[in-house]
Amino acid sequence: MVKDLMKQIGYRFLFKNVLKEHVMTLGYVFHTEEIFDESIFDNLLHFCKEYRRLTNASPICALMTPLNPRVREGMRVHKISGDEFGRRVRLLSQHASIGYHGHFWFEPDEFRNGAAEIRCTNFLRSSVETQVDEEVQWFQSTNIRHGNFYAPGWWFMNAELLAILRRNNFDVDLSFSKSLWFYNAYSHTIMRRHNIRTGEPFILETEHGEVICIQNFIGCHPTKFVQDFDRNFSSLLDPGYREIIGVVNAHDKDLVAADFIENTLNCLSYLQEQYKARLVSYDNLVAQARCQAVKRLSSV
Amino acid sequence: MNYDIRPLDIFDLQTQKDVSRFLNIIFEQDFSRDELQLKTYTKSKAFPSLYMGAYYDDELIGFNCFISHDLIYNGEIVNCYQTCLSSVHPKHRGTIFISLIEEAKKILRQRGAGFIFGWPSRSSHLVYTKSLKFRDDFLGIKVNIPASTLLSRAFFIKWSEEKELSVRDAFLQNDFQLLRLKQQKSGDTIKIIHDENLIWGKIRTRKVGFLNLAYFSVGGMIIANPYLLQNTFAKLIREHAITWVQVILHHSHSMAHLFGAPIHSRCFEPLIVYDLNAKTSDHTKFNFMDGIKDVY
Repeated sequence: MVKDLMKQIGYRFLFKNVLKEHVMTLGYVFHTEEIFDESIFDNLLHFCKEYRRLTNASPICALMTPLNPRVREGMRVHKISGDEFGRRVRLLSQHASIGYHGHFWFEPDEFRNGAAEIRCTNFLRSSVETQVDEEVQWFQSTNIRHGNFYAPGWWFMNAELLAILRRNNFDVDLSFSKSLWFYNAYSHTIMRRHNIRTGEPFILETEHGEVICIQNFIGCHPTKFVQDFDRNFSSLLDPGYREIIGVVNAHDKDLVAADFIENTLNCLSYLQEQYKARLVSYDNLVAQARCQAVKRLSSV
Repeated sequence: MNYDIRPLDIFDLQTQKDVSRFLNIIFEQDFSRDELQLKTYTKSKAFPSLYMGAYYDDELIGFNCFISHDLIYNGEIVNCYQTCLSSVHPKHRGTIFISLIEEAKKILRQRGAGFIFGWPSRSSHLVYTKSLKFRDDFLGIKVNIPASTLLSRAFFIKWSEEKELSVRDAFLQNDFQLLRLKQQKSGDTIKIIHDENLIWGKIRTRKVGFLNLAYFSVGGMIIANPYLLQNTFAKLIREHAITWVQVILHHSHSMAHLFGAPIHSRCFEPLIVYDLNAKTSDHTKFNFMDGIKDVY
């Protein structure tokens, strides 16, 4: 209550129109992890439809496949078959672009064990490679198109994973972020060393080909104060860099929170009206990023 | 003297009895029959731990354990071995220990092992470095962080965008494997704090004057987000009734720079290293913490 009151007063004077200098092209990506839960799936589908109604564009759903042990466990608990999971993904693909979202473990069966999680400083190539290859195989065997883009679990990315993904034909990446909440040692180092500005797309060259990197900014704050977005996003921006392109993110499970959908759509609507932000579909986002990407860097 | 040096099958009941009886004499401790196995037998992706025995007239008179560690180096497993429980019966001290370790070196080199490492006692340290040609590395560093969210802040560096975090070209202790090993012996006494980062360890006590003070001894940590490291430690402090948190790491540890005011640790004996198939040097980074040691 006190916090809300302070915000209400503060936003009358502060952060007013702070993003007006920037031309924003945004995609909206869901880390899609729990569609085995019917209520989460229904909410996600509902959001995607509402998002399209508002923006005339589709959101993006980076999917954890049923081969991911956490999804496998969720399907067991929710008594969802592989066929039903596939049906849900196909239905989702009518309203959103589908991509791949990976969470990796030293041993997948140990997914409940925090020490088994592969994050930015304990990478094990063999485990990651096996899991990526198997999950890509799932997309192929079910004939579900994944749009060749990847969004990271636990914000984990490094040169080796990028090469593994590129070998599997992923040529668009949504991992890199300047937000401290989404910190990753590799992404941070690449962006710092090459002076990548917030919202600047760039190309990384791997041994298997190029990957276009589109930055992931922040979550679209599902509070009733749309200016929360202004305050948080403006802290990431580089003065003088106007053409911002990237994605805002959420998890599918966030949708069950009260007012999440309404407040998020409010925020997006505010960005459109106040700043003329362009909320675009995946294909448009990538096309514009390719046009705008100037820096071509080695991934290692 | 007619000595027989050979690898031991630690699952053999008679061997377990012989070894525990022998270790109880040498270390004046109370090793149960299966304790050695619980403390030292790791499930490795490569090879399991190696146990070497020296026999004289069919009696065990020398023993050494080599704990198998799947260390991680630039994303690949490097199977390395920690030498520990080095022991020879007082009547047979002399070259037999050297022969036993030399035999182990041959076996481990054939297994493709990277290197042997350890923290030997003062008495065996000279034998390892002089006679067995182990390289003597530097001491560990220690940070004692007070269990107060406010005071603890001074013990972390302020992370900023200019700083980088990298584990490139460092041998990482495998916390996933280590936790399995430590939990199989110590079970619930091993505590895990997990959010964006992970810290594991155990609560120990130290007598200070008339008081027995509890502190958290960090065995290992996986730092994914240095911005949030203080939050992880704050969570640790909130969740446990302790007076301070003790972090001991090898001086070359890639995360050492995240902590302010480190001091040299007297309780972290010098690391010794003997290269087998890997090549290490005085400049090699060993991301080792207290929890990797057999005595932790």
